[in-house]
Amino acid sequence: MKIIDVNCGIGKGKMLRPLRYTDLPGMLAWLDDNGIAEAVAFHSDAARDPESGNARMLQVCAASGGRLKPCLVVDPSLSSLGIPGEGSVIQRLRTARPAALRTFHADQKYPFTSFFAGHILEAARQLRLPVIVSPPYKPLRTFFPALVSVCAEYPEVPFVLLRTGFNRSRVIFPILEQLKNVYFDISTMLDCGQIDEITDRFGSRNLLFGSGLPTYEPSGALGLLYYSSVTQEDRENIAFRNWERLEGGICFDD
Amino acid sequence: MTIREMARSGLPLPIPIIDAHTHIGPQYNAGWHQKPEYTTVEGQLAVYDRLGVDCCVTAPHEVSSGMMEEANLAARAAAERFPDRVYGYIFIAPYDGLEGCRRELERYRRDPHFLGLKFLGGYNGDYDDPVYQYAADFADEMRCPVLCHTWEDSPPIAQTVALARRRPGLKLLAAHQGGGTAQMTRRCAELMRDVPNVWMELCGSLNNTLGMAEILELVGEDRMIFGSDMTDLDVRYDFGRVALAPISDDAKKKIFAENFLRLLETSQMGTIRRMPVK
Repeated sequence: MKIIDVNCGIGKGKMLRPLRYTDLPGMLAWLDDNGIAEAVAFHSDAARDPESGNARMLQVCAASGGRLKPCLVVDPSLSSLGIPGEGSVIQRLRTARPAALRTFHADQKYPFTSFFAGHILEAARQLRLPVIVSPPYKPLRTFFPALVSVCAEYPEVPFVLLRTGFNRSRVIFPILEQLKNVYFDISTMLDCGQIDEITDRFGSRNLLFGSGLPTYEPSGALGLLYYSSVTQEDRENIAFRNWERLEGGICFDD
Repeated sequence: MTIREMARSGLPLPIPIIDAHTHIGPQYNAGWHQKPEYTTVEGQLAVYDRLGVDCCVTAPHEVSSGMMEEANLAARAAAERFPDRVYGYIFIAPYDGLEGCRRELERYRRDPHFLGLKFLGGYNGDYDDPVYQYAADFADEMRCPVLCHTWEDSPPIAQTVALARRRPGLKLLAAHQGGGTAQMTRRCAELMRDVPNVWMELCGSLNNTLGMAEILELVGEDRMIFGSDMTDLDVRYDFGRVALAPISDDAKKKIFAENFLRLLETSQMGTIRRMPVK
């Protein structure tokens, strides 16, 4: 079964510790060893210096034989959002052709709302680019209401939430019921039977495989994927098909 | 086929597997949620059948409310209904004082369904409480395992390991890889060096950046015990962490069952009577 990992990073930044790998050959060896065909990855340097870190990620992806897809880290305080290239944000994105954008709003200390992140969201809307978000574990009470508003304001943008599973069923279920453009990686779907229950109640189309490499080993998430009590079709949706659908929806052409 | 290859195919593993850390029943407080059908023992066993897990040792969910008597009654009832698949830990909490502790130990010490003790410190007091000390002395005499909760140093890992330090008969299982993070696992491993009668139970590892191979390097394959925390957590995560780990199949067999069975060899409490032939 083909597996695409939407929750990966590369680089030496301390946010990725422990450093199971730092370069492309090391990362590909980890993916191979875990049976992961492709990965959507950001470069840890981009969290500190978006433009050069993202440029590095594009180079790494270009050398990966199609196995790595660039996820560009974007910063609303930069007029270009930190995307390498020339011209407007949209022009830069059309040239760079990332598979996704990633925000680090908690680390960069801004609220994830259209008021503060409108730049990012408008660019994502125009190109139908997935936006990958790492929710802070706390504060629960402010992040999720803000996220719900953003997702409702930008229904064309697929939002991918990473590591949002464990103890979050009461947040996930209403989101899946009412918002079709929110996706979750399964990396921490540890509430007992969470993947089975989501699939039974809401279908599998909003679940994606994510590992958390290199910080976390993929084996736990793979255990959830291989052994969940879902149909093979649902398993494949989670493993790769849902992401391929999202990627296929990106529209770089005018 | 190797264990890893079988796991990649989603096949039940044809080796003995004991889930040494479980809480049967529902628990919907404090953010916990389970798919409702998995809160029955039948539902839990159906998941086990997909994985090849033979049996579990449980301290039912009444433990998180400190309800000693109710937890032990529920464990016994489940073990009677599902012989060879469900075993119990005698759950000890400090709320009923020494008298309550003695009563529960006396009630179940010769009951073959019970294999050891479960302490849920942190939720229910610290391990320096006289009730825990008394129960630890009991476990020392009975030479039985004691599964001790510890999470992010609550109760402190040093206090947890200290229960075993002067009680060589007590077989202490430090739950959650010593506390759920790489830092806590390393601290636990350090303490385990001087205290040979401590084992590391592995469940709840979602925030632990150490993989199984790294934990094995720290504590050795003879001192790792598989558990899932089901139904608080989905067994498939920590099952995958072991089954898919880049370690030998012999090590996996030890972690999944052999190490726990070895703890029971000299115990005077109940034992796992029969492992199904698969």
